[in-house]
Amino acid sequence: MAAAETALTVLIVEDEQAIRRFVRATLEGEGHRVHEADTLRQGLLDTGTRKPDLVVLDLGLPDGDGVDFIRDLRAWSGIPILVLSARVEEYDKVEALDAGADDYLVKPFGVTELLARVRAVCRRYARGPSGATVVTFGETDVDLQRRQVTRAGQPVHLTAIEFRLLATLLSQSDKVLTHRQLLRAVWGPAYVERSHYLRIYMGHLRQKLEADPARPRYFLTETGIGYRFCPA
Amino acid sequence: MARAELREPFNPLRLPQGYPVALLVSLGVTLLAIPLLPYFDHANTIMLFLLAVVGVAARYGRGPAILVAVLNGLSFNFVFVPPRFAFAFDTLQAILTFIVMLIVGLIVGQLTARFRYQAHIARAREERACHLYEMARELSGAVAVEHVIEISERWVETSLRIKARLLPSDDRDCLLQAIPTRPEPLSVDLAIAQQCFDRNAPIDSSGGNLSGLALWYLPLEAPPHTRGVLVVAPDPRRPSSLGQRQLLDTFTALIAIALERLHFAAVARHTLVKMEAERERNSLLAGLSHDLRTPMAALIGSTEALALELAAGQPSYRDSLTAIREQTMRMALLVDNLLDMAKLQAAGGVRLRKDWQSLEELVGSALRMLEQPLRDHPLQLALGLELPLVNCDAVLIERVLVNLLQNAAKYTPPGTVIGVAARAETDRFTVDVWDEGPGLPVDHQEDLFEKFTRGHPESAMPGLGLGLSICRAIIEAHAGAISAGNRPGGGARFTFTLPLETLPPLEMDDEPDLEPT
Repeated sequence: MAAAETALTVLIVEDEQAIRRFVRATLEGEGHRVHEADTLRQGLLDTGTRKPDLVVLDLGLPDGDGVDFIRDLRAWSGIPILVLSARVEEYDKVEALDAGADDYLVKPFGVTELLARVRAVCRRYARGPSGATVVTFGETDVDLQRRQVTRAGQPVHLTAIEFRLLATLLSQSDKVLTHRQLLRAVWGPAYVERSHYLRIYMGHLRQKLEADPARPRYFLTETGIGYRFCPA
Repeated sequence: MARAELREPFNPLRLPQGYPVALLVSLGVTLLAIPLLPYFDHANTIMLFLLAVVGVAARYGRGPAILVAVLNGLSFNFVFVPPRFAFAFDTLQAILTFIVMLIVGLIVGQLTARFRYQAHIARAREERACHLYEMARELSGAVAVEHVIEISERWVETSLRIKARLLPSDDRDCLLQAIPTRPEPLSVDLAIAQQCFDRNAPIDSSGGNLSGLALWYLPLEAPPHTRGVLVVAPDPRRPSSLGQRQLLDTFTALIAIALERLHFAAVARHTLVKMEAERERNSLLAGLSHDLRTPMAALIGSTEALALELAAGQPSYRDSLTAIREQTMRMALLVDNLLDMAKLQAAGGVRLRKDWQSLEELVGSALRMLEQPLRDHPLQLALGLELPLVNCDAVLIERVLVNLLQNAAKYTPPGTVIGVAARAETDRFTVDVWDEGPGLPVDHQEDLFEKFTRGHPESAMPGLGLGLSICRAIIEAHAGAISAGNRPGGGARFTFTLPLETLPPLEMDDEPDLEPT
């Protein structure tokens, strides 16, 4: 396999040896350096000493709550965190994302999914805060600075809130944004529980920017979690 | 009367009622006989006196009969037997008259009393039988132990006019002090009651409790079990009669049978549930052994084949790997379904995480999840432009859509259309998932929603028949309904509804249009 553009140091915090082995093999195949930890305590220690570029964290560890781990880590570090969760922990992963995790994978997952997520996370961090003022996806061009949207050359009229929502999604492309995160960013902290605002405005945005709003290509739904903007 | 009356209490004012009458009758017959004396001889006159005795005896019983016999004897002797207006008991005739009068009075009085008593007993028996009948009828309709307690306590009090308290036993043979059903309930000693229950023998506690009342603890026997204890407080002023005791025994027997019946009804219900669970477990095992073993056999075979291929340096290992992956995915899906079902059946029901959801969005993400299985089917969506938001658990409703669409993809030939249509009515939201496949078997469309039931049980299609029962559990948890049927033009249609609620208002102003700057 071809080595990634940049070799990363990855820490896997996972108690299942089989999963650790498979994740390690996959990432090492991509040319990354991999360290393993099988408890949250060890994981937290290793994050301090190994200085990884990415943490792959299993939410179901025997010695504690993965969400607490994320909060601890976020108190002093902004390194990307990719969460692994089983289906029974459906709502834990929302909490993990709200706490600051960057993305998640649901077990069972395949090599392709794992690599795609790792690449997306790293791309976002490598790129840093997007300096681009024009974002293009499909036939749509969004000029963030001039607050102008065109689709196939025709201007698209967005309301102020619709534009704020669009800009928030575009600023974190490929990343899942939870309902709370979007509500907080677009409407403000007082609105984090009013998810119907988000549904309605997301509907508007898709009506205006998707070819088939019922089967969106760019503004994807992560049911029960949030939304993800996929420029590809 | 020698035996206590059942119905009416002792009344001291009632009994002497006959005595003044006896006095008057005696006086009357004497006065009546005086003018007749010149025309009748003594032997005939005395008949009048005798008639009076019989009359009073028949009407008022023994006591007044004796009184009137004595008075008549005396007055006859005084007025008619010479020397007149003086007592003369020196002749045998006078004594004989007196004694005959007394004997007639006694005999008739005795007969009347017995007759009355028997009538009274018969009436009381009839009343008792009536009470028993009424109580038995009410008990036979009782569906809960509380009803039995209420009915029993009420009837013992009505019928025997003594206070009663029923203590049923639980499954572990402990007596329960149920909530009293009567005003001023009897305070009972639970320890004594338990003792009575354990020994299965009546206990007579005299003055052992706070109120100083003597209490009877009677076990409710329904051989081979005892179902509780009936505690009664007999009235200390009125000693209980044999009839009362018999009635009480019959009451306890009836109550015991009623409790026994409830017990066995509960046992039967429990057994039915267990049998149903057993049936489920059996079909689960049968389904699992087929649906898990098949992919596992394929997995084992494929990995061994892969090892051989690698050893032989053959380049064909990709097929084995693809097979391994497919079989594993199939197992993962199965495990997901089993987990979902287990979660939906968890004690206390499903915990819904309701939120305002856009159905269009849920359909969209379900379709995205099923991109692979649906790739050979043209889709027809009719979701309407202005569908209201639905308050539901997004993950679960998406699951319903995924299961229905997956079924459609699985059971219809490639190239046929699969459709989703949604519409809002006044109080509910209706969603159809339809296809152009072979349709559903006509005779048991409702059974499809049962666990481990499949349209064609012998079908080679993998699956446990859990998908639709998961859908039903989810929709019913949302207070909606799901049904299956065939479309007039051919193909199957699954319809589910969700209740429609009013959306909270939007409070935030938004400029209608963003002016480019």
